[in-house]
Amino acid sequence: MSGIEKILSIHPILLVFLMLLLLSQGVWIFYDASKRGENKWLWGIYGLIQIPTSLIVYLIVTRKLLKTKNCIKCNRNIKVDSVYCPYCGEKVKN
Amino acid sequence: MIMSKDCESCQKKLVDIFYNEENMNNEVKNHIKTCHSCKEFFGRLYQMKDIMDKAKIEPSIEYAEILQSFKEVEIIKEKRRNLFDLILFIIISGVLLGLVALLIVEKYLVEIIYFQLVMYIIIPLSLPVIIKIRSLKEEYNERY
Repeated sequence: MSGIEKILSIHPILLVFLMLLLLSQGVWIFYDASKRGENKWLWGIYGLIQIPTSLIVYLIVTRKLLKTKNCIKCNRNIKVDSVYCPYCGEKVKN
Repeated sequence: MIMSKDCESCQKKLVDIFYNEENMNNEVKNHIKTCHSCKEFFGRLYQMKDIMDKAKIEPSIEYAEILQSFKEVEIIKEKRRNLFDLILFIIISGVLLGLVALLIVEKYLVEIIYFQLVMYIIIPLSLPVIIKIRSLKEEYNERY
């Protein structure tokens, strides 16, 4: 039995803890993506694959690199510097 | 009250005159001068117009309130849909992670660890791909 297998067999709680951690990450990413108008199902499943790399990539994409905001009328994701929403035509910037 | 035929036809003409579909003629003018009820009828048409003109100011406020209510309903519906999707996601994730835990218990831990090590390399490398797809999508949206 390898070292890690030994550890997991001794501490099954560790396995449960890891699963709960992954579940929490996936659920949080799902919830945050739905608030931001992102594809929540894709991001949610992405968040279940690994911890914490999936979370880091998600945060970089949504917070830092492609800055977006939600349209006040249709709530879809649009560029921060948009004057008009490209989906519903609402004026979003003065 | 039973109207005479003259009054009936005069009042019909008065409605047409009021809405500028007909011009006032001498026949109607002379009738109004002599008939009190038709004169009163003509006066009431103008009173009604004043009331309707005043009423035009108020509906704009109610219309805004109605729109606001519709918006709030849409927001509540959206929240409920998101909550339902979240619960569904939790159930599906629980099942998937349960399967993974079962695989670990069934002595497939080494394979899962190898998979995780590969993912440690692939996931960061997927970042430029995700950014590229997103920028292409936004360019497409801007163009169309």
